[in-house]
Amino acid sequence: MLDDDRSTVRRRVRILLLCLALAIGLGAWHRSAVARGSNDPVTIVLRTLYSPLIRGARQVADSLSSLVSPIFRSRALEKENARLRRLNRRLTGEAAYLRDSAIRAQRLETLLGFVKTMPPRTLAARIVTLSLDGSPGQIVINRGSADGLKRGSVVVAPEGVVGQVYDMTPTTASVLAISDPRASVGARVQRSNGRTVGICRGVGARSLRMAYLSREADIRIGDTITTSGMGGKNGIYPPGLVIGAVRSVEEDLGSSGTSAIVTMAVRLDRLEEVAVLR
Amino acid sequence: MNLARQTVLVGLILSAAIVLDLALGEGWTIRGIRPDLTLAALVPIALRFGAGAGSGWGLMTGLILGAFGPIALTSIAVSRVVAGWTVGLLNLRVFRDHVLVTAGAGMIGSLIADIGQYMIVPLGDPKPFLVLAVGRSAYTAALVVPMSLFIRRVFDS
Repeated sequence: MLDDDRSTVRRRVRILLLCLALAIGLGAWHRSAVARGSNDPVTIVLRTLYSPLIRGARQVADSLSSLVSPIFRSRALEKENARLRRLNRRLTGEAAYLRDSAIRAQRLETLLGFVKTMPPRTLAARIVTLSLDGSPGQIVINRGSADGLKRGSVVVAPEGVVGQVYDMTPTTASVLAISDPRASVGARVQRSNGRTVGICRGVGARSLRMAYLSREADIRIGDTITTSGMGGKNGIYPPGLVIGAVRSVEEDLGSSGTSAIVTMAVRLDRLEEVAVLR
Repeated sequence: MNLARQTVLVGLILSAAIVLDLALGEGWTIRGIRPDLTLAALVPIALRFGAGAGSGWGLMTGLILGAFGPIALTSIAVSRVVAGWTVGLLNLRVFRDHVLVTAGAGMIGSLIADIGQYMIVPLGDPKPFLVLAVGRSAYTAALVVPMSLFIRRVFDS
């Protein structure tokens, strides 16, 4: 009886060790493949198998939700419609003003001999999975190396910057969100015309910390923070993309300067589609 | 039920849980806490089939979840193996069909998975992480109970 117990324990421990060895081995293989900008065959097979199922489940859920939700949300939709009409009127006016400003700016740029930079080519992509808590910023999109994506390609949404492509299979890509603690992005305060610059680092939960600001930095609560086109850990984001708005400004005891907490403009939990800058 | 049929059924149940978790898990978030739907399926399976099956299926779920994350494959896979194995050790040692035991096993499994993952790849401050992990384990435990009833129904029939 005792021998039986011992052999059962030994068998269980052997299985555990085997599984752990497989997990660590496959993890190391995955890590080295990701470091080369590609992916290991196990991950490629699993993503290829599961991506269509996950996308299908999302589409079914979206269709059901769009069928059912209007029944419960008709009053809320009326209010939302009225609010959007007001917003549309205001934005139409602003767009006309901005068009005029753009024409004037273009004329001035030509006069000053500026080289006009071409806007980067973009590629629309759909979200396959989002996982934003325990493992912050894990986003998988339905475009991969076969679509011309590269490690470091910038991913944006209409509200602002989402993150950068981290690894790829031929048909999918992982995106590291800027709110992830592993991400960093060169940033500036839009209001200060580029004078106040720093580095934004993710602190999870839709927040970033803008650090390396001087004590006299011109930064206030509510300021819009955009990419500066400089710095960042995994490559450079083009300048002028909206990162978010300043939620609080505090003294940075570590560097005897100032730092700001920035709320990300993009609601990752509501993302459906994104654009990848190639 | 023969072993092959049992393996296919467990594979299908866990695959369905993973697809639901990855596709719709965000929609289940309450006050910033997202339940671990995959673990809610893994725990009753480990409780029913033991530590060996728990660690094997934990490895499978960890690899699939890891395939959809940027770099954390090792931490996810290892933490799920340990969670499945630990919960599986309770097989035959506790009255596993009792609702409180099932929920307790769910809490233990979820905490082991989250804390194990954090210990391998620490991300952010430990305090908010711990609060989130405890909240998530309670939420997951609540889902383990109906999942356990479902699994009992499938395998007892």
